[in-house]
Amino acid sequence: MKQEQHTPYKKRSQMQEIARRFVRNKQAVVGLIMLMILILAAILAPVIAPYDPLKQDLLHRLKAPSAEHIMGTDELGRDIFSRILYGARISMTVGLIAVSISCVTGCVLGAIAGYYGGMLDNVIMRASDILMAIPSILLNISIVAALGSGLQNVMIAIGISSIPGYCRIMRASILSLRDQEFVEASRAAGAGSFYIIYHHILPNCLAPLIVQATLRIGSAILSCASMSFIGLGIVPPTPEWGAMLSSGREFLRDAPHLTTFPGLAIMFAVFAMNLMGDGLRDALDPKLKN
Amino acid sequence: MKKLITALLMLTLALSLTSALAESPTTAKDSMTIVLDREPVSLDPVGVYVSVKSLVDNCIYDTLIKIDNDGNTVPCLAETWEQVDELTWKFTLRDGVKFHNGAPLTTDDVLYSLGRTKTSSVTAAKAAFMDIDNSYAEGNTIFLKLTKPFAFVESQLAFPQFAIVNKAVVEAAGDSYGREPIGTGPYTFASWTAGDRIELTRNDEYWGSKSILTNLTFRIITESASRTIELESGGVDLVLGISSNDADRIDENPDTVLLTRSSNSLRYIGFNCSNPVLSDVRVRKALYHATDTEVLREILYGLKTSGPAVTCLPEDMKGLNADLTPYSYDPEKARELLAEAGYADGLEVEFMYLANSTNNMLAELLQALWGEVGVTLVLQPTESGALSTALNKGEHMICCAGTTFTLGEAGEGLNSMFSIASQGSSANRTYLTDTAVDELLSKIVVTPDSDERAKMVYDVQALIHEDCPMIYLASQYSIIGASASLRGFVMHPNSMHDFTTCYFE
Repeated sequence: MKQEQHTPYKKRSQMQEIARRFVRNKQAVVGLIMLMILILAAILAPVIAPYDPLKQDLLHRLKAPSAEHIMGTDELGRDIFSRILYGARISMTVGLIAVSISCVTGCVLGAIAGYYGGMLDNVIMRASDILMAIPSILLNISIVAALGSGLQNVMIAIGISSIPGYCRIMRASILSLRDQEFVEASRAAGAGSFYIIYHHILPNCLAPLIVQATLRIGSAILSCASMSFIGLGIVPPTPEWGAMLSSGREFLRDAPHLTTFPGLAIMFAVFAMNLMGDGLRDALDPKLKN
Repeated sequence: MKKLITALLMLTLALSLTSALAESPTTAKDSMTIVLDREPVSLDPVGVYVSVKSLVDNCIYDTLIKIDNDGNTVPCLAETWEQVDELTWKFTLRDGVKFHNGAPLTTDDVLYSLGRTKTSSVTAAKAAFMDIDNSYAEGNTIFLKLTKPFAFVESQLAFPQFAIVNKAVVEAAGDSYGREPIGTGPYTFASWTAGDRIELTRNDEYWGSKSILTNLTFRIITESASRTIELESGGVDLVLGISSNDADRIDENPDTVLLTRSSNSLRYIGFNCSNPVLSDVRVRKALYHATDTEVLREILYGLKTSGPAVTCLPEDMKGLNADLTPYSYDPEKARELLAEAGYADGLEVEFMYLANSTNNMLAELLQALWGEVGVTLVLQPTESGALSTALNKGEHMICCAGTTFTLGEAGEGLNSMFSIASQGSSANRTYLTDTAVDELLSKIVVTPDSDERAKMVYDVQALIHEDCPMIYLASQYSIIGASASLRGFVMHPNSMHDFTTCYFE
């Protein structure tokens, strides 16, 4: 026992190892910092924002960026910088909730399909194939058209349209794990299906799920922006990046700042998520790196 | 290797030289490209009124009589006409008119064409059309019989909906007729590339004065910025539907000309008077007093590209009542009226609109303006199909809408907007039920004398104004951008522009 205390070999837990690999990856760290900035902007919006994002000032419409309004004002004289800060809240919420909806539903369905197989597997996977065959923007539009526009329905629509991805990942992981010795051992010891899935299979297929979820947050933000762009997303006057882009389009030639800044914000958020996602993948699955 | 490169270079040079030679420079072109902001669904004259369709139809077809650029009725396929009695009109057809397929124009074709609005499956605005029955022909003369007196026979006959088609061709083509129209007009239909362009060529056999240009191309460009850019870059010659944001840019550019004319079109915010909350006239007046219409007009429609609206008629309309007391912007008064109506603690109303950039701005501006007097505006941006269904059923509370007085007749437009019989049709957005208004309107539509009509139109506006069924926003102009080298183009009062006199310098 005494000898072990003095050993120079430092044993790292799996989490520490992942964290070490992640921190070594410069791109991933940049992504993480960008994400932190976004989250801080979203949380601290009421503190940082110099103006009320909804306050109209019709005498100062379409003003170019200046010291007073660092990103200028929009077609109704509202401060674009404040609107972008508040818009970060919407984007972050949509990203997280839409991904949670699809991740949870997709995982449950994928687990059922993969673990039980047979007829149930066939039904679930064919249904998800059908979902995958429909272009996601079209699916989003149909769902929102059916449910009505609004933040909640947009999140549901985006959530539903990305279920199949998780479903497939989960099913594939389960298929590769289902017949492994440790699962068989657990089954022989008398464990039930739910116990096995939850305690043995799920922890082993977490890595690809996390990566998929991070990457999907970026595309959920983008989908939300596109839905608002075509007028089916967030109901005005809520500041939303896609809606800002859409309403600024009319003034593209005279006041390009109306579209430039929301566009950059969307790019920033999606880029941050993609860098993070790639970094996480490398950190979680060292085999992929080489 | 070097030789190969030299050879290639020589080849490129040679090719570019030939292509340069092929483009012989011409100062006066013989074709003209006109940009439409949307695509007509069909070119069959009968059907829902869409301005772009009527414009193209007007080139392909002729009507019995025409409205000229000054708003007067002039002969077209009918050389002379007169009203025989209250229910009978007599038209003498022009001789020697031929359809584009070579068939001569017969009285049979005319009777068939006039009856189509009645037999057509498209019922939109059917009520607004004259009801024709048992019309007949004697030699070269058509006797048009109405079932009930109707005041706007002449202006309706000048409308492309009553354009004269060839009976045999329409019946043979069936449903595909709308894509291969044949008329007697100054241009023949050449081709239609869906979503892109419609091409017409000059009708060299035309009975009237022939077009100077040989080809007309209608290009469909739905994005307003792209339309402006196309005009600026010289790719097109005439753009219909310039965004008011681009008006100054086109006006200042030496290569382009901005043309505006009152387009008989009124923009307004409509209150659904059958709604339990809005049936109280005090609430409607309160909302009007809470609205700064001058600011809205400036921001949404532009001061140069729209006129003020003081009544439920667009500018320059015969019988317009300019003596009404306006509902001025007065938030204090609005609050008082709301309190009187029992909404001192606030009121929530819904605003349904087509989600486009102008309407979005209107919605957000209203939200801010009405918020000041304690009214919460819930926005319902709606997609166009769902919107018209909801509006036609009267499911809205407040909507924004526009009415184009297509015939240029105040009485006809007001009747389709405010008569009780018109409730549920696409022109009536207010569901106003006022028997005094209704009575007067029903008198107007059967009064043939236009001065007498104008007097009643003047009176009915006062009644409607007192009911306050809508907030008048603007009298919208039709905004056209044209190439500076275009000559001979005059804007038509009802947007039925004539291109036969156009040429390039």
